[in-house]
Amino acid sequence: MSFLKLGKLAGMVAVLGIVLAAGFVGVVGSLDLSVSKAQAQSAGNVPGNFSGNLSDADLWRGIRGGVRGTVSIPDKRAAQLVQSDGDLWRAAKNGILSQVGGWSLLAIFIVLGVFYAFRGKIMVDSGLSGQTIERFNGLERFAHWLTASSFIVLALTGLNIFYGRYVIKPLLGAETFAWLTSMGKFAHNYIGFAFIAGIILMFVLWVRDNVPLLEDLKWLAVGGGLFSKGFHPPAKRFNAGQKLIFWAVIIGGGSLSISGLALLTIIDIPLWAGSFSILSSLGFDVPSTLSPLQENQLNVIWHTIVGMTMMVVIVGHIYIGSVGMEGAIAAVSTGQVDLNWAKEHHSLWVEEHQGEIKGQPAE
Amino acid sequence: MSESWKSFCYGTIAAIAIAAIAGVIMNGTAKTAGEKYATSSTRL
Repeated sequence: MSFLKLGKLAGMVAVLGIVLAAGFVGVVGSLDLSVSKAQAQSAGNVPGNFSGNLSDADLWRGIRGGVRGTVSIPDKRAAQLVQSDGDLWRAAKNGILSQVGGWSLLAIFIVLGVFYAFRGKIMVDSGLSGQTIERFNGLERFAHWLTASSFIVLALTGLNIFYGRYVIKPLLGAETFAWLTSMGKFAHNYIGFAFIAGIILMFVLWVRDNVPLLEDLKWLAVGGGLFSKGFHPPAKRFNAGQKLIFWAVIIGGGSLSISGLALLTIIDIPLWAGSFSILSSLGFDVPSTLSPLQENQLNVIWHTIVGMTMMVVIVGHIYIGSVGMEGAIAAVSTGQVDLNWAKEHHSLWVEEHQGEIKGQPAE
Repeated sequence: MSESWKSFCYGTIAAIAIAAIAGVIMNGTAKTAGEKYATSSTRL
């Protein structure tokens, strides 16, 4: 290659370089790569300063932590990109709540098993008399079974939601479990209304006989005579133990009903924000404003705690009303209990209803 | 039906009936898919 040709080639390269440089300047505005420079000198701040002095990492850390921005659309909740309380909620639900609930249920069965082993079935000490007295009329028994049957369905479907994937799914397979859980969810949602009707009816029918009295303390002080044979503290229509069950069902069931209705979005009341406002006015450091999602999360946790507690209580109730005590089941089956049973467990009530005794004494 | 468990059966049947009525009413008032998954839904 001659020297002249080499010079022409160099000239062409130079012109091409100038043209490319001019075009580049037209695109980016400057040959000076100021963006990179700014990034390098801004210690991680977001380019363009659109987020103020926050670095990119700080910005996303804030979003991950639940920081709210502002939006112009009607749904203001969209201003919160990540609701991090869900992490705590899921951890509580799948962690401590599941564990404590499961152990509590196991514990009550163990306690009752040990009690039965030592105490045995509580028999009518004076034997069955052959005479009966009406303990519960038809409407009362109906109310009992309306509540009881719906509670059993609610308890089983609720337990399936919590433990089904560990217990039922391995037995039935994923598809059957999914179908069962889906049906159970509908049953849980709908049968809840029967439970609500039941506790309202029971409250109306039995509240006057479940008002706490002084003799209830005496009954409790001696353990209701459950731990000693041949000793039965006096009681009216309902003894202190039964009153505790009644109020547990009314208060616990009422609380379950309200939180359940809130979860179904049938009632739209900020239950937790309202409760927290009261606590806040008393000096407790709790938030007084909560998002609908936070309300739902707290409702799920509360619904679970109260539901599990009631299951434990009702297992004890079922035990003492069936295998644990002779003659008790008749109260809610026929409604007629043996007179001697009534005298031993509800002596003050029998004294008030002497005229209602049926049948002749057994020989 | 045994007299002993008549009230049990009545209570259970009533529970099923109430649940069925609740199911019909709730399904009748259920949101459409569009309403359910709109950003204004509190379930999301």
